[in-house]
Amino acid sequence: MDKIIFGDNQFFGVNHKSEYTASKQNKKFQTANDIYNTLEYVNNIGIKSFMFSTHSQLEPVFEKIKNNSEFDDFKLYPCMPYAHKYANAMLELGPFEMIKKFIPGNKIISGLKGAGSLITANPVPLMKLLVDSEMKLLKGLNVQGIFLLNIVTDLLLGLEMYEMLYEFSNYCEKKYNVRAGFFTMNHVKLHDVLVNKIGLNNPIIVSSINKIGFRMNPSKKEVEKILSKNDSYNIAMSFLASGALKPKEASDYIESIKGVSSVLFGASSNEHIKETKEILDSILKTSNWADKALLEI
Amino acid sequence: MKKVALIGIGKMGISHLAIANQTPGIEVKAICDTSKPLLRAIEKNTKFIGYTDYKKMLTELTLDGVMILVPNAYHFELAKYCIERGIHVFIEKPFTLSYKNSASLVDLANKHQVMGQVGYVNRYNLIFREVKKLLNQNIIGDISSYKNSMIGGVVLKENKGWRNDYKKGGGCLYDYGPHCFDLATYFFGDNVKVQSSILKKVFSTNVDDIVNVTLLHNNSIVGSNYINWSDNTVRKASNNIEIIGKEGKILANKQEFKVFLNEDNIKLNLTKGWNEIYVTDQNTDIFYYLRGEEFSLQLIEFSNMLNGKIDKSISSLESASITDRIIEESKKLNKEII
Repeated sequence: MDKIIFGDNQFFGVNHKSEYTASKQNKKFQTANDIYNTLEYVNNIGIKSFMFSTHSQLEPVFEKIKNNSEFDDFKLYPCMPYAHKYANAMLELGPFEMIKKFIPGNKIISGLKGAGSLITANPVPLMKLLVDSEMKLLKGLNVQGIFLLNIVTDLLLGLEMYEMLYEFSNYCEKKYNVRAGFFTMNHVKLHDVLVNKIGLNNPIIVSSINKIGFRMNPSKKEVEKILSKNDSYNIAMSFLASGALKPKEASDYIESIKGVSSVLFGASSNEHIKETKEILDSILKTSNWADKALLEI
Repeated sequence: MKKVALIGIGKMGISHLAIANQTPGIEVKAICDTSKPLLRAIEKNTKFIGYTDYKKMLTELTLDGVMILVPNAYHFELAKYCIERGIHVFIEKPFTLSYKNSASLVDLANKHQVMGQVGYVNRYNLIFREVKKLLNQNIIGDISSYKNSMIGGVVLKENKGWRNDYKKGGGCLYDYGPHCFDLATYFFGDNVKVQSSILKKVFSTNVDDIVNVTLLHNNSIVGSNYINWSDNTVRKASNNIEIIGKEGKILANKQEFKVFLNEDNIKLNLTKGWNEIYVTDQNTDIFYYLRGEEFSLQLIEFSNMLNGKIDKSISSLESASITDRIIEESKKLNKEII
């Protein structure tokens, strides 16, 4: 897995620090072309990984990526399920059209899979169905990992439905031959569950890791302690704390702690993307940045 | 560990269940919902015991607190039943659908020495909480007025569902109104009169989509409250408030606030002119995060209440009943929706 991964928050008006900034960024990315142009720039300067929630607005962007050979070595990491998409589709298309759009393959079979899930009260088939339907939209693209968004990871964590986390990971590996990853806002709790309770080997965890401890739960100190164990592949998100930190001080912090394997960041201007990448590149060579290659499945 | 149960496992219910299950000081003993398939799924996949009948649940279990998360129309009946049995309650907002009912529950709770909390989550938001602290310190001097708005894109075309029916809890006034008015009473107090109210339709045919209400607090603070659920320019519901004082001004939303001061405030490290403060400047540490620190903080307070660490919630039944009164009076001032 690459050390530097590009994220998608700026494309969809998400900024955890400021509503004003979010709205400003949203205005910048009105069309699929706006998003595509930024990804083209990202690819050109050598950031070869893109992590995104499976937002409908990205579908035309991926069509363009598919048709441009410059993107052949560009790796995609979908994060699912993007719940708003289903809610909006239900409103716009109605239930039948929505099912047609999202459920892959034979409608009768997938219908049974889902119905079976309700009858037996077993959520696993439903989870598989959702993963399949998201993956259907990404067919023919270079998907290298599948990530569970924090709202779902943390809900399962809160309800202690640990087996579902295991099933998700297992399904991604068996069916799609890629690693699963988990977004979380509860790094310490999740790490304990994945490593100690369900026994995943070197699980991929994406969580807020930044100099000011923003959304590092339950505390910066405890997260740092777990990171230093080095028994999970840790991807730092919010390392710029949504713009509260300058790239240099943010990178210096990542360099100073043990256990961060990759950094996921987003920015809306080419200038900021380049600046951040160059600063991250300069710390890549240092020893603390966990030198860990992902295990092959 | 205080024992609690949750009644009503809808969208809010499931998120409260996850948070309550992680909250120190309380232990979730059971859940109750009328949907049998849902209960079966929860019982099969989690450790929680399920009931379909809340009366049976309350008879069989000894509980310290109950979280009432059912549709709004049933809040009164369930809260009354719990309070009469001396069980502390957390009720999702709004408190009840009538001021009379809410006021009677306030009295009943006092009589039975029961504590209550209503799910007005903005009161636990890190930014709004900080603004409240500054207002308590009189940082912008005497407040003359405020502009309080809540906008979002809920109804963006004509619809015939429950949102277009007052009896089913539809209308922007009943949906967004509670959060907006509660924020006003949180900042400016419960001694409040509804001076004017205009309800307007945009896409809906039977209910309001835009609400304009003028409130007067303590006979001195004038508040314009603007609520619109037919605005598609925001990604999610957005609260913005502008507070005008004699010595400055505050602009705030859930993630950030700006303070304009006429003079330096050395004690609070704020300078003359604009000061910008973001959620990233706050301590965000939380035992468990699901959908914002405020959702976890409000259940910490419920736990503190059950464990006798505090004797009143900052989102008490009293304050929530005033929000119900504002909504009721705002509706009454409109014979028809424009």
